[in-house]
Amino acid sequence: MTTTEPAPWLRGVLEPCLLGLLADGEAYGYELSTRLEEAGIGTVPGGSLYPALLRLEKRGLLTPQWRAGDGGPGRKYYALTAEGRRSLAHQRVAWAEFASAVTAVLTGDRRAVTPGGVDGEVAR
Amino acid sequence: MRNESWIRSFDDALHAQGLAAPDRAELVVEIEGFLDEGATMALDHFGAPDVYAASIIELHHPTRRPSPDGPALLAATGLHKGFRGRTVLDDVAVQARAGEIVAVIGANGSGKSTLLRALADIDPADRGSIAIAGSIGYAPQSGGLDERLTPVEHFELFGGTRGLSRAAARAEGLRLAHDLAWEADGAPLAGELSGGTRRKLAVITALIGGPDVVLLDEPCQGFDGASNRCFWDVLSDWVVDGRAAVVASHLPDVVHRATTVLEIGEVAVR
Repeated sequence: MTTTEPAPWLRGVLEPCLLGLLADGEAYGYELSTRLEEAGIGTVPGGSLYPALLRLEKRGLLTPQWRAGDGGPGRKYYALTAEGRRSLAHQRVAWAEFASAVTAVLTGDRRAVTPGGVDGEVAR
Repeated sequence: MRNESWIRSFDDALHAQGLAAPDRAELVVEIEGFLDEGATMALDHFGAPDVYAASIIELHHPTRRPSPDGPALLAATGLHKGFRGRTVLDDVAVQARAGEIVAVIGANGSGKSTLLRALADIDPADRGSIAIAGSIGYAPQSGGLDERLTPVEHFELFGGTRGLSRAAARAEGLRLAHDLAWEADGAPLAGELSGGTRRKLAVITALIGGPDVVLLDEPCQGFDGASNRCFWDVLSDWVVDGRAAVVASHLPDVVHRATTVLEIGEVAVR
């Protein structure tokens, strides 16, 4: 069984998406991977998921907590810190702007793009 | 590759790169939970265990990048050295600033060891000037160890010459050994160590006590991949603290990890 190749841009949005999912409450790694898949973001390999969580943890945006599992050796739950909430709020705005710019370029609606269009078509 | 053997290789690689046991256990438990719950193969999700371990190590202990922006700690110009009519060093200049790792490269016989011996004042140059600000540590290409002493006795001996108490020298030597993926406590006499471990001991005797400039002649000879990486991480940390290193090596990766490369020997006259 092989995992589906994630979309090329997933790398860039994985960390904000993890912050977004954790805004609803703490979760552990596998749970986050299924929620990303259910949300239509794609299958995220563990080899991308855990390093992203570790990077967020090292930057102080997430705080980990080990909880006893049912009979198992325990699970590492991740929760947003206050800094993580601030970062998420900032990235919501930044992403909305970026996404509309990308959409404009992909659909050819250059009036929405910054000046300097193609074929002398300059939006001002 | 089955998940059990993947996990074992992953844990071994983390251990070889010096990650502490509690950190390793947490990483392993987390991955095992993921694999169990998803009923998936480790190789599909995480790739090769040693490569994944290296990426995790980098996140745990980001390599501090040395940058040669400090004052010059070593400046040598116009060095000449001949043996029996053959010129080995012909007007060689070397400078090493605080924060700098200078790699000395060149073919066998190009004079790398001769240059380091001259800089260490073990076998002085015939002409030229050498200025060193501060103290110096030197690990020769071979020898420099006492076969009848244990590694810990070496730490005490070399640390003592740089003003460390026996306890401090022992602690610093063991810490450096650990950072080089070697547990030196209780190790046998130097004469009974393997070639690679003897190199580690030689490197530690040069680094212990924190001299300002360290001269290392082929320090990685006989190191495995993990030890080689550990060595460069140790040396990078070392110079970031305001020291300088000059490393003679014929191994290709030296040019990637050094901040400055000095190639010698092209102009040697026979």
